[in-house]
Amino acid sequence: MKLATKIGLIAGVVSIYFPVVGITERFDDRTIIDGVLTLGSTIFLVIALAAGYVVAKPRHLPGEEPEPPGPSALLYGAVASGIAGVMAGLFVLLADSVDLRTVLISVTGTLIERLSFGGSAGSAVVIMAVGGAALGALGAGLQLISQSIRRPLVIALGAALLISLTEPLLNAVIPEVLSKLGLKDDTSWLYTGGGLSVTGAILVLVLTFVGVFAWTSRGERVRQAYAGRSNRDRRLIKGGALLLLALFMAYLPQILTSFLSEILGTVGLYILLGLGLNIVVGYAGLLDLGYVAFLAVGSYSTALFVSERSSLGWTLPYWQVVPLTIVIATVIGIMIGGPVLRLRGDYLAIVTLGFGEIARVIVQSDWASPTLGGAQGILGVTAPEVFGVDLREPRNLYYVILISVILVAFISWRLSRSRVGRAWNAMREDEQVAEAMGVSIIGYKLLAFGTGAALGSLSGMFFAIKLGSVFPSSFNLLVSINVLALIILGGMGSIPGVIVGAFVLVGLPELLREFGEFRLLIFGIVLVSLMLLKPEGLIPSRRRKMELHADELEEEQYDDSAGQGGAEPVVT
Amino acid sequence: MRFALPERWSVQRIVKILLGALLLFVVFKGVSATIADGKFTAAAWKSLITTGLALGSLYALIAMGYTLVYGILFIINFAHGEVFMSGAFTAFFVARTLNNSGFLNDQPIISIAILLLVSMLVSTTIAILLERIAYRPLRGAPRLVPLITAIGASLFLQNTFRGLYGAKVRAYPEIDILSGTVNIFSFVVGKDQLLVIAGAALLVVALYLFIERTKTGRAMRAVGEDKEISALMGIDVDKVIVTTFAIGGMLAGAAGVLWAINFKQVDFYMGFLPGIKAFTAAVLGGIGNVVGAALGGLILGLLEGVAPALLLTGYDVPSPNQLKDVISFSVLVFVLIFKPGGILGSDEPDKV
Repeated sequence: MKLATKIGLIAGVVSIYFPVVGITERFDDRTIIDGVLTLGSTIFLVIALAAGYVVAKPRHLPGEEPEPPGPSALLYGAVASGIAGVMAGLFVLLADSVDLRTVLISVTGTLIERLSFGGSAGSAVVIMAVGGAALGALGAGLQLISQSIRRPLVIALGAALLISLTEPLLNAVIPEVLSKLGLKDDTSWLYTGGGLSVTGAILVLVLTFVGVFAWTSRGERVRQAYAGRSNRDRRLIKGGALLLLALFMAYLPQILTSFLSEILGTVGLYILLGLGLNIVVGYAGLLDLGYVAFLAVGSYSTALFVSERSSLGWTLPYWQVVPLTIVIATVIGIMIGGPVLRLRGDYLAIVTLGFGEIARVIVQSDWASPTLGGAQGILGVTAPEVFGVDLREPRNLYYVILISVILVAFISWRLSRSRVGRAWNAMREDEQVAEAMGVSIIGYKLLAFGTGAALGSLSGMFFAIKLGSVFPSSFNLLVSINVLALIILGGMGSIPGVIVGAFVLVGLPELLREFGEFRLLIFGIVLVSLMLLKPEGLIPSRRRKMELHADELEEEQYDDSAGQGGAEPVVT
Repeated sequence: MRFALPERWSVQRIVKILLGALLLFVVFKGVSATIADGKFTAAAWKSLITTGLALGSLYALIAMGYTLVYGILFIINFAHGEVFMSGAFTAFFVARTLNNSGFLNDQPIISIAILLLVSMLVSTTIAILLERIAYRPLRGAPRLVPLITAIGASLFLQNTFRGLYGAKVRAYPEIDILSGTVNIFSFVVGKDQLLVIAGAALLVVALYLFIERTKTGRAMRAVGEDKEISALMGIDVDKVIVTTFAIGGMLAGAAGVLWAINFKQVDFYMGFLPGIKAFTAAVLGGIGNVVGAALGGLILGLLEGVAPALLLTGYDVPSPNQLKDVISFSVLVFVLIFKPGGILGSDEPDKV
């Protein structure tokens, strides 16, 4: 009961937090299920359900068998979410009677009206308390049903949410696909009013539920069959799957609108940046918070050499600019990294942060404006033409970026398997031991920094081409944070992690315009909760996982090494 | 393939010496050119110095939070700048309310006391919550983990304040008795600046006495030396760590009020730069060292006030004040290259 009260109070604070910060009102514009649910109200539902779920979770001491939760769990769940509901209701009551607007700008009249469900603020307390309790009991009920049903159910709910949120993307793609298949390009069975229709929601829920249910009951056999194959076969299967994925990505622009191709191009740029920073942070363990500086170096040097309107007064052809830019960036990277690499990791973080700021301040200053154009930036970066194809066109640029991503991903995959990659790993895990084993710490750190800088400048080059001009305001700290966040979300040192991270943290927010101003807030929450709950990220690399969960993984590790004879088939 | 030369070649030392000589030459040339130019009057220099001192004492106050936490947990509390921001924001709302009722100018001393009290309370609460939620569960995790959490917490706090109070820059109400100037040794000092310098000095001295003289202070130093042994000696390590965060938060809250009084505006992003600068100050003085942080803060503030005019004008740099952040970050980099332990720290680069 004490636990229920505690969690109820926390959930209450959280459910007041969202409307007060302004998220609720903003997210109410977004439909999840047409006429039934908005994103704003979904948040409340999730909070109430989650509170009940957490309270009912069976607790046990280490070494003891967990006791299956009894029906009393329902009561506790109801109490927890009921408390949260009462708190939220009392907040509405308070906001209704006292004008909070002078201090809390997000507590508007419309918000209060919505939160009182059209009735009086007093009735809101009752509705929220009762509704909260019911949802809490429901959440607790999730703990009572068996794992084989609970998992598909939760996944189905998540899938419905995701499919609804990606409406702008899917609603543009599905008609194209349908018409190519010779069907009527009508999606009103799935989407209406900017979200799922009621039938669409039911369809998605049922299909995902059945699919996941079938996979959990049958999937084990497939997985065993896969594990039973020889290393060679598995590598073939994996390679084939990757090839299929690449082909699909190559086909994608054909069915996408130009706007979506552009988003994909942006995601690709961030993947490139992420892969570069991944070498620095993920492989070598050097936290670089000023990575945007290399993006800036790449963009500015491209613009300087290519644009006719730059201060140089002469231009170079692209095939000369590319290597030149990479060399410049690498040299700058080594110059920045060199002096501070003797120091401990967290100092490096602050110093690189400082360098990132220095780069921005200098570029914007009057002092550098004769060369770099000051706040006006450099205009007129002409697009390179390859076989008469204009690369500024989002679709064409997309292909170039796609090829670069594949290339860079391959290089960094090979790097991680090489002698250099192993040295980086050893260094990340324990510098002194690595040094004692003959790893030249400074040399490998410089190498990591230089490689990262070169890759960062590569994306900078695409960035300049994409925009056709370069402005100092594009290179702020947020870019660095963004790239760092996507690496951490995916899992440090993991290449698929970078790609997934970029899609989630860069692609999704582009589709969800409503997120705009809350993007950083969400980043903050994601970073903190990931570090607390799953520090290895969504798709962790094996080594990283071992590092963070050494004791849990020990057994599995022995099994693996016995079965595979040392070879690691997992692409990390 | 070898990537680095063996240590005994000491290329690093040669590079260091060359770099140092170059740096000295650049500074000397710039300074002498500026002085020969005579663009600034003595009064202008003096006003730059007082501005720098006021700024420096604020940095010193914020730097205490970094240095205390680092001295005990060996982590950089990256979100400390946001704790400072929360104090300044709170001060704004309290001051506005007091101003609207006329109390602010009727009873200015009581008002400032109230401001300080409320802001310090809010900042302390936030600092304690930060420790409890973001840092305590991660004690003993790999180094990068708490640092990333700190960045996350910093983003979270910044944007929470933005969501709560809006993205606008808010003008801070004037307090009548703090407008105007006084003359001290021919230095013209604004009364608000005087309050800032005096207040900061008082708080730093109080903190120093607290750490050196009280039992809790001794416990803090003990935990900084060795957590396990301290626990064996009957010290409640968790409590000491919470106390440390609380003290840091309190001083940051006070710095927030003084900052608002001095610069008369607040916004949600204001914690970022002072936060990094205060960290720079802590490193400059020798991180983990309270006196060092105070000294580092003052030096950094002075440099930031005087150096753009003194150094950059000599090179005919247009609008040198735009580049003052470059100077403070360069200071950080050069300190780390030449004396990583800081002014009052040991010279051995820390390698725990």
